[in-house]
Amino acid sequence: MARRLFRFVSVMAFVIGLLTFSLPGAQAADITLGALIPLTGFATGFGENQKVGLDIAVDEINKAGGIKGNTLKMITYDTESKGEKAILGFRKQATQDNVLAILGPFLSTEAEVCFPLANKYQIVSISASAAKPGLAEAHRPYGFINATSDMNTLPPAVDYWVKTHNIKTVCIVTDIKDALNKSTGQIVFPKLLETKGVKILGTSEFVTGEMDFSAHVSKFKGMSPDGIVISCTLADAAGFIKEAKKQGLGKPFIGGVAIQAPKFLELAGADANGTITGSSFWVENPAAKSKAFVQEFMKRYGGREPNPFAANMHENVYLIKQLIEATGVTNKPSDLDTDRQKIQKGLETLKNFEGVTGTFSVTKEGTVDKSGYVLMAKDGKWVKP
Amino acid sequence: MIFFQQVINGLMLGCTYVLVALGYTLIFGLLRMIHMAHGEVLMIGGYVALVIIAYLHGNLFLAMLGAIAVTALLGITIYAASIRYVEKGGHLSPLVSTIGIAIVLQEIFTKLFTGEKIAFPQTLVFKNIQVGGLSFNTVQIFIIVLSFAVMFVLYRILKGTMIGKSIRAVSENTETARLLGIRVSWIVVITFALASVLAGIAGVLVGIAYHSIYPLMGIEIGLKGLAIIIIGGMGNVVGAMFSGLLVGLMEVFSVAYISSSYKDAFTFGLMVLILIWKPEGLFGSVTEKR
Repeated sequence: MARRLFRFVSVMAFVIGLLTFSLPGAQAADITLGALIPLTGFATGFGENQKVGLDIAVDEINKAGGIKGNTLKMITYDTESKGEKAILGFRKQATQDNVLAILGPFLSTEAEVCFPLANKYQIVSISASAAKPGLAEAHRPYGFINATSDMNTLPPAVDYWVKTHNIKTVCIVTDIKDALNKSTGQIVFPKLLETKGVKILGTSEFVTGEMDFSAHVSKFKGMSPDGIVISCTLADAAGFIKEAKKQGLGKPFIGGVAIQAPKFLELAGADANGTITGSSFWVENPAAKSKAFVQEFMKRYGGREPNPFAANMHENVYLIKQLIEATGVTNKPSDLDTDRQKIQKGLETLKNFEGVTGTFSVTKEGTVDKSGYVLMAKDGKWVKP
Repeated sequence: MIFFQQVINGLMLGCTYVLVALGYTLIFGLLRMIHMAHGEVLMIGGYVALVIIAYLHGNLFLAMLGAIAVTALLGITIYAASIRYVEKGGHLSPLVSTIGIAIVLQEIFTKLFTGEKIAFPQTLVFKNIQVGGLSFNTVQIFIIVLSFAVMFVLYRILKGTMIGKSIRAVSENTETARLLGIRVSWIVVITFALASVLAGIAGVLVGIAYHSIYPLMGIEIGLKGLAIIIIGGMGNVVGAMFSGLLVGLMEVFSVAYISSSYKDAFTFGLMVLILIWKPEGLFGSVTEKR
């Protein structure tokens, strides 16, 4: 019995060994990069959107002759929206798949556990979305983030909003269950408004998925502020604005980055008109690069628009491509360690890179110096006011 | 004036709660069981109305009729599929089987309409009306008037008609009712249809009042409905009406004047207090009478 079991186990081990070592069959001349994206779990929707951005960049590059004549090959693992799976994928890409750099992970919680590995294995890990402030700075020199937090993207929008509507007083409604919106509503907006001398008359809080906003709206109505700040997920923001319009509270609105998805405009309809937000990526941007990207994206993704994280991912592929070409990466298996270091050195000092979101440079904190576009909702589109 | 506005807001929310809680309480009165898929019946009522208005271009009246018809059938189907033949297993088995039905219905509608909120088409003529500093709008009036009309009709059915009297008789004592010649199995089916219609109407009203619906909306409203019948007294119809309005007003006032993030804590906190000090509920429970 024991012998049969042993035989069975050893055969299984052999089969599994064959499978794992033969699957990532990269050609010697291929340039391999890793990607970590949540394709299942709670962040699936974001992950799928970002994957389309990634695929577009890779296909474009290979169609135009690859990188220095070599085909660009991606090894993508699903993180299941979990830190522990992200770690497994990261380790495999760094030590077995021998990729030159890793694009991802997606979530701040994933990046928090993967960036230490980036420093351990000395391989660049660049996230296109983990926007938690201070995250890249804490993991120098190999952790990078090409994504902006509300603290960077909102100042121009707040500035425009306050000036245009001559706002002296506001009320703020915040979703306190959602980490991003909580910090935007309770820290970022109050700080930005304070510097403009705007007074906060009152705040109201609720948790994600609230059905009835009538009481919040009536409360604000009684305070009669000049404007209203909404920091919540897009569906709740739409519900709040519709209720406000219904109760005749026609004050100008401003929202955080969470509302700039097309779905918000669809849900809020005409009531969204005039709402302001700030974003690092502008879907209606007429610049040729952005326009081509958005068109291709919508073609591939059933007419749906890219979100900023898909655009950032697209940029990250080109960013690494540029660095491989410019820093003398040899892509020989024996040079793997020095190639990875070259990419890190190049990324650290990258200036004026032109991507689909605009032109930006990498900061010494490991993030990017993108600022925000001021966007205004108008008849189902986000336009520049 | 803002106070008055908040009262209207509270009544509007309370009306939705009442319609849901009435269904729970009718079914509990009859079978002494909690129908855990009742919130999903409400959700489906909302989606039926949405499909009729947005895809079939019907008006609100047709949408309401459609929701009533579909939810009545759905209620009977749920009874047949998950309660009728597991009833003998005690109180726990129908509870668990209706939870199963609830999950199946949520997943079906998530597959059909995605899990995200979708906008409910607004067909009511929307107008703000000012009466000496007080402002209402037509949507609020429509919802409150319709809900009170439904409550009144239900009350009349239970008090004045043969079916209503039979339902009450079965609630009071199933065996005696059967001995008196009441066809208990029919009364149960009719009650399920009636309770589900109330939830279906509530689903349409939620769509109208709060602009959007989503497949998981039944869970939260369903739990509130449960809390309300515990507060009002299990199986007590008048208790469900009063405590539904009470909870609606209480939630709105807690947002307006106390702390908005603890809204649900007030409702469920009251429920716990009632369970400790007056377990039969504010208006008394039918289980006592046995």
